Amino acid sequence: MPGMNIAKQISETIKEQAPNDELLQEFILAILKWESSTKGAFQFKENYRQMIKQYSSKWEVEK
Amino acid sequence: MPDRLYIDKEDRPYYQKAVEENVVNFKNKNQKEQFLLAMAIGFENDQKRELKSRDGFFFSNYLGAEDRTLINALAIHEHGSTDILASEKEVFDIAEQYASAGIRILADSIDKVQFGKFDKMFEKDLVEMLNLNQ
Amino acid sequence: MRIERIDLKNYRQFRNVCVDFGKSAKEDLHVIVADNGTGKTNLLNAINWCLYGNEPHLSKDSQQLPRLNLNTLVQSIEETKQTVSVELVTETEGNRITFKRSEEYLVHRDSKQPVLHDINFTVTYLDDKKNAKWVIDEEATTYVGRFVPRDLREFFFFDGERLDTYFKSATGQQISNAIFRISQIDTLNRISERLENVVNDLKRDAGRRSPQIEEMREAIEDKEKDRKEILDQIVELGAQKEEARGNIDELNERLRNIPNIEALQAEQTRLRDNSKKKEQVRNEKVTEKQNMLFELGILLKLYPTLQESSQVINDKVTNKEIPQTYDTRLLDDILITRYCICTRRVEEGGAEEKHIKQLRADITSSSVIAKELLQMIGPIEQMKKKISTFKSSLERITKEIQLYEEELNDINLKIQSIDSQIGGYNVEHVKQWYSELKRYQHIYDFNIERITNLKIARERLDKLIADLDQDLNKGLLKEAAFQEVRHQITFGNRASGVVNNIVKIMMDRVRKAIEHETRDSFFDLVWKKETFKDVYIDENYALHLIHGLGYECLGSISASERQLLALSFVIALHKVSGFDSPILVDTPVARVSNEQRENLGKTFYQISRNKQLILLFLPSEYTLEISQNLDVCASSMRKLRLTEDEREIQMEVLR
Repeated sequence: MPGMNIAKQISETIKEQAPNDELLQEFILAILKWESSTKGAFQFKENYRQMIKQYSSKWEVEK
Repeated sequence: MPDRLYIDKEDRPYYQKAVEENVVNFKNKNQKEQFLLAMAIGFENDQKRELKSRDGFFFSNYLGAEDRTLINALAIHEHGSTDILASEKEVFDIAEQYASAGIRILADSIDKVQFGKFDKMFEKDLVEMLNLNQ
Repeated sequence: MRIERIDLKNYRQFRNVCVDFGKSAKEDLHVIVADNGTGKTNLLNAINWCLYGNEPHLSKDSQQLPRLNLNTLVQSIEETKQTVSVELVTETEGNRITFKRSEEYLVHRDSKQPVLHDINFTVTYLDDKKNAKWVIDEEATTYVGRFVPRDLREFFFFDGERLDTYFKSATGQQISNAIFRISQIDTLNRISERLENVVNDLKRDAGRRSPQIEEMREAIEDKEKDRKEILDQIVELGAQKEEARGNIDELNERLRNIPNIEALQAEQTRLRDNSKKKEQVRNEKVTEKQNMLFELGILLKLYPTLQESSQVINDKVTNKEIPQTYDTRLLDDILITRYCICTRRVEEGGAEEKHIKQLRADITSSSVIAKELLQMIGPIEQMKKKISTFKSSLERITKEIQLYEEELNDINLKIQSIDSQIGGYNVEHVKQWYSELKRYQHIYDFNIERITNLKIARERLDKLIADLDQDLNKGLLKEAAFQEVRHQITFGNRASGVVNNIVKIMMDRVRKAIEHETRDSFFDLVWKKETFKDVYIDENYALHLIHGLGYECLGSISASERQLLALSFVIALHKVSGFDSPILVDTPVARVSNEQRENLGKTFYQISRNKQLILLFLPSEYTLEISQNLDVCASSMRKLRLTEDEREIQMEVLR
C-alpha cells in the first residue's frame, strides 16, 4: 500500500541514531514490536525491566 | 448748543429692523454710527424728513473729527454756504432730517432684497460708485 | 482494517438491522442513501457509541428520545428488560476483532423513560492459538485506540456538513496530534515515557538501598516534574497562540476590504477641528469686510459733500479768508479805552462803537466758522485717502475670504468622503473587530514571548537534570553493589535518548510527507487551481493555505473548499501512515458544487481501491455527477427508509 512505510523508516532511523550499537538497536526494535502488537497494553513494567536487564547485561557502556 | 442728536420716535422700529437683519454688521455698531449711515443713505437718495416726535439717540460729544466733518459738509451742501456752521443746532437739524429719511430707505431696501443678499448688493453699489468717481 | 458488518439491535430506529460491508468489487466502497430523519446520521452515531460510548452527531430531536427503540419500548410488557446493542465486526490481516457495546434497560409501563440497568463493553478477538479471548472495560478501550483512537475519530468517521467548521481554525495542536497518533510515533513516545518510568523505578530501587542515592533521585524527580509542568504550559500556550492566530487571520480577512474606521474617524475629527478654526477666522474676516463696507459706505455716499467742502475751504485759504488775521485784541482795547488807534474818541452808544461791536460780532461768528472749516481739512484728507485705498482693501479681503471658503469646502469634501467610506459599515462592529484584532495580536505576541521564556527555562532544567543525573551516576559508580543497576539505568537512558531523537526526526519527516501529500491531493481536487498558491504545515503543525495573491486565506475559504482541504489532509494522513482504518463520511458532498462533485466522486473511487470507504448520502447529494462514478464500482448500495410510524428503519439492498 502507498505510504511512507513508517515502520521501515523508523528502523532505519534507529540504526542512524545508534550507530555501531547493534544491541541497542535490537532492544529498541524489540520493544517497538512488543508495543505495536495488540497485546501487552498495560503490563509493561515487568516486560521492560526484563528486557532492559537482558540487553544491558550484554551491553558495553563504552559504546 | 445741543448736547445730543435726535431721531424721530417712529424711526426706532426701522433701526431695530436693520439691527435684526444685521446688514453690514449693523448689530455691532453704536447708535452714532448707525445714525451716520442712515444720514448718508438719506443724502444719497436726496431725501429729508421732519422729525415729529424728537427722541434723543446719542450724545454729540461722541462725534469724532471725521464725524463732525461729514455732518458739517452735509450742512454746507444743504445751506449753500459755510455760514450754517455758526449754528450747531441748525447743522444737527439737517443731519437728523436726512437720517430720518435714510433709515426708512434702508429698512425698505432690506425688505426688497432676498434674505442674506443685502451685503452683496451694498458692496456692488459701492464699487459702482467708486468706479464712477474714478 | 475494515468493517465487515454492523449489527444493531434496538438502537434508536435500528430495531434489528444488520448492515453487511462485504467486499465484492476491487473498490471497497459502500454507499448508503437515506433522507434526513431516516436514521442515516444515527448509523454514524451507532459506530461512535459502540466504540467510544457517546453520540456526537445526535440531532436535537433524537436527544429527547431514549436510545432504546420506541416500538420495542412501547410493545414491551411490564417489568421486562430490553437490551440496546451495537456490534461492530472488524477484520485486520485475517484476524477478526469484534467491538460490542450494550445497555440493558428496565421497562416500566407507567414511565415513558426506560431505566438503565446495566452497561457492557467487550472486545473479542482470537489469540495466536486461535482461542477466543475477550477483554472488557479499560483494556477493551485500548483496543479501540488501536482501531481508531478517540481523539482522531474526526479523521475517520465524520459528518461532511460539519467539516467546514473543522478546519476553520486548524490548530497546530490538532494536526500535531493527528500526525502523532496516526503515524505510530505515539508508540515511540509511549516507549520513551515507559523507559523513563522504568529507569526511575530502577533509581528508586537503588535509592532504597542508599539514602544519598535516594536524595539525588528525588531531586531529579522534582526537577523532572517541573520540566513536565513547563512542557505542559508550552503546549497550552502553543494552543492559545494558534487559536489567536486563527482568529487574527479570520479578522484580517474580514477587515481586508474594510477601511480602518477608527483612523478615518480620527482624521475626520481633526478635519472638523481644523474646519472650526478656519471658520472662525473666515467669520472674523467677513465681519472685517462688513465693517469696511459700513464705514466706506458712509464716506462714499457723502463724498460729493466732502468734495464740495474741500473746494470751499481751498478757495477760502487761497483768498486768505482762513485762517483769519483779524486782531480782536485791538478792537477789544478800543472798546475798553474808548480811543481808536487814530486817536479819535469812541463815544459810548455812538456809531463808531456800534460799528466796532458789529465788527467784533462778525469776527466771532466767522472765527467759529473758520475754526470749524480749518478743523475739517485734516479729516477730509484722511477720508479721501481711505476712499482711494478702499478698492484694493476690498479686493484683498474678498480674496482672503474666498481662500478660506475654498479651504473650508475642501475640508468639507474630505469629511464627506470619509463619511461615504465609513457609511454602509456597521461602525461599532468594525471598531469591535479592530479592537478584537488588537487583543488577539497581543495574546499572540505575549504567548510567543512566554513560550520563548519557558523554552529557556526548560533548557536550563534539562541541563540541571543532566548534571544531577551525572552526579547520581557517579554516586552509583562509587559502590560496586550498584553496578548492575547503574548499567541498566545507563542503558535505559541511552535507549530513551535515541527514541526521543527518532520521534523528533520522524515527526518532521512525517510532517513534511503529509504536507506534500496534502498539497498534491488538494491541488488535484480543487476546481479553481489558480485561486490558491500553496498549502503547507509549519513547524508548529499549523496548516496554512496561501491565496494566489500571497496572503493567508484559511479563515475565509468556502465550505466546499474547506471540505476539499480536510479530505486532502485526511487522505494524506492515511497515505503517509499507511494506517489502514476505514473512512465513513455522513453527507459527504452537501456543501459542494456540482462541478466539484464529479471530482470528489473520482476521488472517492480512487481512495476506495486501497481503503474501505463508507459514504452516507442524502438523495439530493447523490446526483448524476456522483453516481456516474460510484454506481459502477460500489461493493454495496443500500437505501434506508422509515416505517410508517417512523420508529423503525427498513433497509433496501440494491447491491
